[in-house]
Amino acid sequence: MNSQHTHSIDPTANLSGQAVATPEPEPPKAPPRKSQPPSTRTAMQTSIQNSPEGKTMIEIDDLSFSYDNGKTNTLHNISLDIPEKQVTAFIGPSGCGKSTLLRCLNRMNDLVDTSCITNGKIKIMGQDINAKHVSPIELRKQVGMVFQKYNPFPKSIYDNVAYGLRIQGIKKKSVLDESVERSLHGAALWDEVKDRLKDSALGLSGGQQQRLCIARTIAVRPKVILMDEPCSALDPIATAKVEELMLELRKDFTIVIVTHSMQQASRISDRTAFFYIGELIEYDNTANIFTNPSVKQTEDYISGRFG
Amino acid sequence: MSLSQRSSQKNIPFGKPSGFRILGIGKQEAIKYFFGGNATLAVILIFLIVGFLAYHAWNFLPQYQKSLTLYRLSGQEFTDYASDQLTAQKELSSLASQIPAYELKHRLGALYDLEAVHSDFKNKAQKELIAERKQLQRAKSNLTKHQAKEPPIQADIDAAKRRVTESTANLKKRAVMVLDGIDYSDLENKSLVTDDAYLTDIRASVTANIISGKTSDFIQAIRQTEAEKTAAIQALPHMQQLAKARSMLLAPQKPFNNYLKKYRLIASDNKGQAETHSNAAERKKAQLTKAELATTDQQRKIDLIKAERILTESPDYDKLNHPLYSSLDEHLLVQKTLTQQTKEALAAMPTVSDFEGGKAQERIQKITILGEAFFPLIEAKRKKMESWTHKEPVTIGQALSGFFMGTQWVSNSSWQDFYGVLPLLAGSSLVALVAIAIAVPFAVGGAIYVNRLSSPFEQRWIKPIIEFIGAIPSIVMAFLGVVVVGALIQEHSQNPLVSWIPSFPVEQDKTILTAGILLALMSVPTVFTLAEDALNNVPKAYKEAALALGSTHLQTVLKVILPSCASGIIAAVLLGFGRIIGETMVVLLVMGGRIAIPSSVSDPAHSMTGIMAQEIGEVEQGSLHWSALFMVGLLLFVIALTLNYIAQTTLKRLSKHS
Repeated sequence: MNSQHTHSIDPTANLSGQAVATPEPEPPKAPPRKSQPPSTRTAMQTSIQNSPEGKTMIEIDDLSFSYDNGKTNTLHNISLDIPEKQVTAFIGPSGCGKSTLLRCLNRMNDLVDTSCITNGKIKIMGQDINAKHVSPIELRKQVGMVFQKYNPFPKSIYDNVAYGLRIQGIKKKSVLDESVERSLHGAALWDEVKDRLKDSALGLSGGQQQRLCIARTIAVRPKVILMDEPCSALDPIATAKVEELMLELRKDFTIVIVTHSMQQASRISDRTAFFYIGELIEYDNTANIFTNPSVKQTEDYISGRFG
Repeated sequence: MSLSQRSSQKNIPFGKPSGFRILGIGKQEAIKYFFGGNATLAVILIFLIVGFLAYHAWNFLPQYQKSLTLYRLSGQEFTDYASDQLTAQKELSSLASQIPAYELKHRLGALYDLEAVHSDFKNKAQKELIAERKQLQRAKSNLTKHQAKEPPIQADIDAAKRRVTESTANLKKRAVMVLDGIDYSDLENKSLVTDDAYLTDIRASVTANIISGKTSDFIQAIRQTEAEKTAAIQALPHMQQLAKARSMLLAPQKPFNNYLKKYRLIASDNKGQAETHSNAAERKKAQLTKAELATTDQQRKIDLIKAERILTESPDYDKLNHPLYSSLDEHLLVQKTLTQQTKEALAAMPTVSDFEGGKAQERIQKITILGEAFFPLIEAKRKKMESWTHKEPVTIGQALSGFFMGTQWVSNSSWQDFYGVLPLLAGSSLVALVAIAIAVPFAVGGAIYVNRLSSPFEQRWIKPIIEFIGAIPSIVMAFLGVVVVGALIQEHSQNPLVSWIPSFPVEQDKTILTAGILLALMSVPTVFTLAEDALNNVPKAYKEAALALGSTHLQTVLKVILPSCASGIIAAVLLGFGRIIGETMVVLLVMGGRIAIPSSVSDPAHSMTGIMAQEIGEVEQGSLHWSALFMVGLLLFVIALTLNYIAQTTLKRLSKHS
């Protein structure tokens, strides 16, 4: 894919700019994206690209999280660093908090009124995302999300992909056309839908719809893509396509994926974190986790003895 | 026996469950049949309703055709063409007659309303002064009594005199107090142009009035000034010009009217003969049957003679209509005078710029517009009269178009009944459109707010309250309209701040607008509830996906949630529309009941539902009028059905989409 090219016209770079330019970030005033001249963005972008491989993208530091105003914690003192441009998989039995942690990363948990972070911090590109001056809207433009059940809008394929750009105020048809085509290419869907961009997205097959959701997410050029069991509603062939796509996307994006399938985690992820009842049990390179786990619980889970 | 049977059944493996059974029907089946029966009954009822409406309405077309045939045969149609010409001309003269009053009112300004304000003020004050006034009267009568006594006792007379002076002072004091307490804003509404200088005079005069009980000099002075100024204004050249033009319009009406009267009388006579003939056969048959059933020979003879006397042969319409055909020359004469004089009058009419009052200007403009349409109309009617023949039969199609395209709904007329549904249809549709235009922003906006933006606390309160509006009986709403809403609109539409709204200021309290506002209030719960349901049915995943792409809350609602439930909201609006168009009480009581095609929303109008409710109780069963009302009912039913069908299909499309 033409990743180097696409980075240079990234329309959204506020958060990264803040983080890289100043270690102690000032409150961003969240200026409207469309007003930023592209030249300044390119400068910021280059600084990131020049950063050494394996740089940490997300730092989670001693995080505890509660769904009921702090009465009981769902996540307990989790610390982990997620590297840039790699695939990190969260595994664990149902109810272990892996999806909760994922939804903390783009503050989707804000939608639950009684949820709160009781301890610790999450930093993305060096910025504490729960700081007062951080807008969740701006954050989510940088940290995209793909859901378990594919959920394209009841609009045309084109409008689905263009949605993220349109709400940022981009109206120019040539920009939208180019971005839609690039994103659909990026999601390996272009060849299948190029002749029916104006058709309803709901007419696509399940696997196509999920890839459309991925295209919709990458259209706004986020830094991080969160995937919450993206293949659980798909058949094996569609799953294979999406997995292939993820390996491709890794070149451009930092991917965090929650999965129930151990095989999937071992096939696509670089690093794997194993959770159990709200605690991080083990976090290591995927190869290590699956061949030589250091904790007994992990081994039991991976070998299918429980969970 | 049954016990053993039951127990034996129990022993059979997989046997039917024992227990409640009637005629071999188990409990489950009984419940199933019960519900099935209910559903079937509902379906049958719908068909019965359609059948019932159609049964009573189907006779309308042949009956109306017959009625129109008589109308033509008798020559009434012919004279009505001429009558239309006169009506058009009379409209011009009536407009011209309205102008001087409006212009006077405008030019006299405050003076014009002053006397009315005075009496209004006096009435209000007097109501509160009843007790004091009685006191004074009692004191006065006491004094007369003492003075009349023989011999007069000076001490008593003095005391009585003192009491009279005292109560006069009291009344005066009270009167000033009451006048101080009266709300001025009330009066300002009555007459925006009455200023404070006049008001002070009025207050003084009212006080004097109340005590003396006579009209004060102040009022007399005002009357005199008003009369002088009126004379001065009427003496203005353009006012005289207008008066001249008006008399020119009125002059040719008399000969035309004489012509009309003469031939309408002939047509009326003809109609009588035609009607007698139209049911002669029937009457003869009835008389013969009566004769057959007669018990005595004598009675039978009498009945037979009576039957023989009923003539069944058709009257000679050629002969009957002959005077009409030969009246064309006479008509041409009176028509010529009419057009010529009207032409001259229109030319002599003063121009818009001569007048200062808005209403007078409006009427002058209307005269110009109508004047242009007048001459072609005269020509068209004349041509119709020339080509008219009583021999041309009236077809069923003409009866049908007479119903759907007819602009007149006239019943119980001594001349001819017309059943044209257009004015009713126009009234019903216009009021429904006004209502829905007002209701939709409130209902849909409210639904969006409650469903997507409000706090749970607000949700708990707003929803039941809005839905409660639906529980208010429509007659109560209508009363609210009669007493409060109509008067409010009429009063506040006079305010110059709102004069930019089309069709403002409103001159009556019972108008389409008033009814529309009330109907909007009544349809808000329907539209709100359905729109809220539609919003509720939008999958949560859409919201999450939109938020995860960095939309704000408002963007999510406006760009994702609303479009994805648009068809649900459209269905809600259509059902609300259906609810409105079928509403009866409000339109009957609040819309004014004028049967004519309304030209704006500030006109009174009648509705399809209203006319049915109003007239069905007084109509002979099976008559033309009766079946006409059922035709209206059928039309209403079809409209409601169509709206519902469209709403259902849009809803279906919605469910397919998600």
